[in-house]
Amino acid sequence: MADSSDDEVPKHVLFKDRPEWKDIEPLGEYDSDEEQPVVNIEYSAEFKDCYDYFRAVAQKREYTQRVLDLTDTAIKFNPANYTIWGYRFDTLKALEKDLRPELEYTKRIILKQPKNYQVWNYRNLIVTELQDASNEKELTALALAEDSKNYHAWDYRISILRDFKMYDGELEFATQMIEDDVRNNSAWNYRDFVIHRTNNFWDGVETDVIKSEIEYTLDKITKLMDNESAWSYLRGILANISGGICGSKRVNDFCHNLYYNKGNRCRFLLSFMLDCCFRDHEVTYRTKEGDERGPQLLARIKELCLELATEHDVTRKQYWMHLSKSFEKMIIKAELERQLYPSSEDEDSTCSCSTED
Amino acid sequence: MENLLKLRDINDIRKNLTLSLEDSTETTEEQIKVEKMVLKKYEDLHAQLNVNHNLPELLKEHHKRFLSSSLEHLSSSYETLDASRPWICYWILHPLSLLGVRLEDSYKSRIVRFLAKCQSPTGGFGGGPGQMPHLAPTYAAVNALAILGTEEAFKVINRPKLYEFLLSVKQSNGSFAMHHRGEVDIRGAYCALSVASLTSIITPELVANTAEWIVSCQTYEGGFAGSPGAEAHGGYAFCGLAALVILNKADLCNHHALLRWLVNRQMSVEGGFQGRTNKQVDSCYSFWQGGAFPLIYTILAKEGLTPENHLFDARALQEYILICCQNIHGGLIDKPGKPRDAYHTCYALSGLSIAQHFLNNKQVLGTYKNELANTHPLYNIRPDLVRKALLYFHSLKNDAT
Repeated sequence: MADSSDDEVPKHVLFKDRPEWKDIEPLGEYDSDEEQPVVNIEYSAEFKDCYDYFRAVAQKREYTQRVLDLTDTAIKFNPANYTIWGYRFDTLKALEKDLRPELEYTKRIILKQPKNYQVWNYRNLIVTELQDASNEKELTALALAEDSKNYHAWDYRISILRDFKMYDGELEFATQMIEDDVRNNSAWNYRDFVIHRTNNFWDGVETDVIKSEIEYTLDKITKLMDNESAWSYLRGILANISGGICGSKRVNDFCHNLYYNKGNRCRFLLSFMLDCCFRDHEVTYRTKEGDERGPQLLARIKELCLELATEHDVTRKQYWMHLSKSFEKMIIKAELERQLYPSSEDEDSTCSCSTED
Repeated sequence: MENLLKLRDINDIRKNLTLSLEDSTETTEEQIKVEKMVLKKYEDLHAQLNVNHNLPELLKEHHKRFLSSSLEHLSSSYETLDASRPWICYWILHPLSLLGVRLEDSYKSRIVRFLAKCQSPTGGFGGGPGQMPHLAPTYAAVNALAILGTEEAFKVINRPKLYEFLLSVKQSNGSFAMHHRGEVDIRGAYCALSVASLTSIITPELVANTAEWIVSCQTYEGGFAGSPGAEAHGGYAFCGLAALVILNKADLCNHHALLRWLVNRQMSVEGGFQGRTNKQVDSCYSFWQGGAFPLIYTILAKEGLTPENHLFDARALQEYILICCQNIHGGLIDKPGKPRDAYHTCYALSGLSIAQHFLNNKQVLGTYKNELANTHPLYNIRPDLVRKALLYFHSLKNDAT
C-alpha cells in the first residue's frame, strides 16, 4: 500500500513556472552543453529544475523565505544532499527563525528515511542549538520500533545520553529491547554503554552491579546458548574486574558445569574457555604454581583449539590453528623469560574453568 | 605458489544451518530465511557441476559491460546519489581495474575533468559540481584520480587547499567531522588520513590525538564503532584499523580482540561476512571485513606470528560472492533477491580479490579465469597504482621543501 501522507506533492509546479521565481535565472551544473560529464544521472525534470534554482540562489547567497521553501523541495528529492541541509540551517539562522518547528520536520523525514546520515546530523544541530533533548528518546524509540538495529538511531541516542546526561531509565530500555529480541546486538551494546556510563569500575572490584549483570547474562545464555551477543557482553563485564575473563568464580563454575557435566560444545563457550586458559597462564606463570600449570594450560589450549578447528567451528579452522600455534609460541617465550628472570613475588589468582579437576 | 580451491561439501554446509527450535526471535527468523535462499543457490550449483566443471565462473565480461555503461549513464533511481558522484566514479573505476580493463586516455581525461569540477575552491571535493567539500567524496575522488593514474589526474588535486580543508574539519579531540558542521565519526579519520598519506600532506598537527581517538572507538566486542560508545561495525572497523596502520600505531588497539571479532563475522552457512554481530550477510563486507585481514597480518608479522594462510575461510567467501552475488546480466548484489548496484559490485569484487590473494600466494575458486588483480588493503586501489601515486606526490613534497 502506498503511503499517502500529508506532505506529498500531488501536483508539483516547476520553479520556472512559478511567478515568485521569475527574477531568478536557473543555473545548470556545467558552463556549456559541450561538456560530457561521466556518471550522468537521468534526472527527472522536477529534480533538475529544483536544483538549477538552488544553485542560482546559492551563488547569490540569498537567504529568504522562498529559499527555505526551496530547500524543503530539494530535500524531498534528495535527503542525502548535505549541501542543502547546511544551506537550510544558514537560512533559518539568517531569518532568525524559531528552530522548534524543525523538530517536527526532521521527525517526519527520519521516520520515512531512518538510514540517512544527513537528517540525523541536522537534527543533532537543531537540538544542540535549542539545548532541548526532551523529544529525542521518544523519537529514537519510534525509529527503533521500525528497525530495532538501526545504527543511526542507536548512535544518536548514545550521543544524546552523553551530551545531555539523560541516563535515567536507560538500563530498563536496554532490558526491554533485549527482551524483545535476545539476539539484538545493538541492544546489548547499548546496555554496555549505559552500565559503564553510570558506574565506576576502575578499582577492579566485583561490585553488586557487576554481579547482577553476570547473573542477567548467564540467564540469557542458559536460555539461548548459541548467542554471541550475550557471550561478548559477558567478556565486556568481566573486563572490569581484577581477574579479567577468569576472575569470577560464578562464571568459571558455570562454564565448567556446561562443558564437563552437560557436555556442551557451543563454539562461544569453547572460545571463552580458551581465553580463560590463556589469561590464567598470564596471571600464574610468574608464580610457584606456574611450574606445574604452564604445561597443563598449554596442553589444554591446544586441545580446545583442535576441538574448535576440526569439529565445532570448522569455518574458522585456520584461525583456531593459528591461535594454537601463536599461544604455544607466546607461552614458550613466557616460560623462557620466567626461567631467565625468576620472580619472588607470588600472585594469587587462578582460574578453575580451564583444566579438568 | 598457486592453488585452485574446491567447493565446500554441501552436507558440511547443511550441518551449520540455524535451527528454528531453539528460539523464535526476529533475528533468528530472518537468518533462517537467508540461509534457505543461499543453500538453494549452492544446491543448484552443485547440480550443474556434473555438466560444467568450470563452475563457479566469474562473469567478467558481463561485469565489465555493467560497469562501463554505468560510468556513462545512470537511471533516475540514482538521484539520491546525486551528492555521491565521485563515489560512483570510484565504485566503477576500481573494479574495472581489478578486471584488468584499460581505459583510453581521452576517456580518462573526461573523467578527470568531471572530478576536477567536483573540487571545491576551498579545498577537498564535493558530491558533485558546486557542492560543499566533504571527506567521503574527497576520499573517493582522490582514489579515483589515483586509479586513473595520469599526470593530468594527479595535477587536479590542489594539495595546499586539500590540507586546509582537512585541518578545517579536524576536531580538538583528534577526530574529524565529515564536513563543516557535519557528523563526526571514524570514517572521517580514515578518509582524511587516506588522502593525506596518498598525496604526501600528512603533518604531526593534522594527526595529533587521532590514533587515541580511534582507539576509543574499539568496543568490548573487539571491533570498532563509528564513534565512542556505539556498536562494533564492519565498515567502521576497517576505517579504524586502516587509519591506525597509516599512523603506524596499530599496537595501541587490542588486535587480538579485533581479530576474534573479525573471524566471527564470517557466516558458517553463507560463507560471506556480516557487518555486525547477529546481522545478516552482505557482500560489501567481503571487503570491509575481508580487507582488514591483510592489515592484521602486518601487525602479527611484527610479533613474529605471521599466519600460514588466510585467517578466514577464503574458499567459503569466494563461494558466496561467485555463487550467490552475481547478477547474470552483470553487476554484483548484497545477497540473493537484491538488485545490483555499483557499490556492491565494487566491494564484492574487492573482497573476492582479497580472498584470492594471500601474501604472495594465489588461491582461486573455479578456474584461473576467475582471478582478479590484487588490491592494496589500505586504500583499496591496485598496489601498482598506489605506488605510482605515492611516488608522484612524494616527489612534489620533496620539491616543496
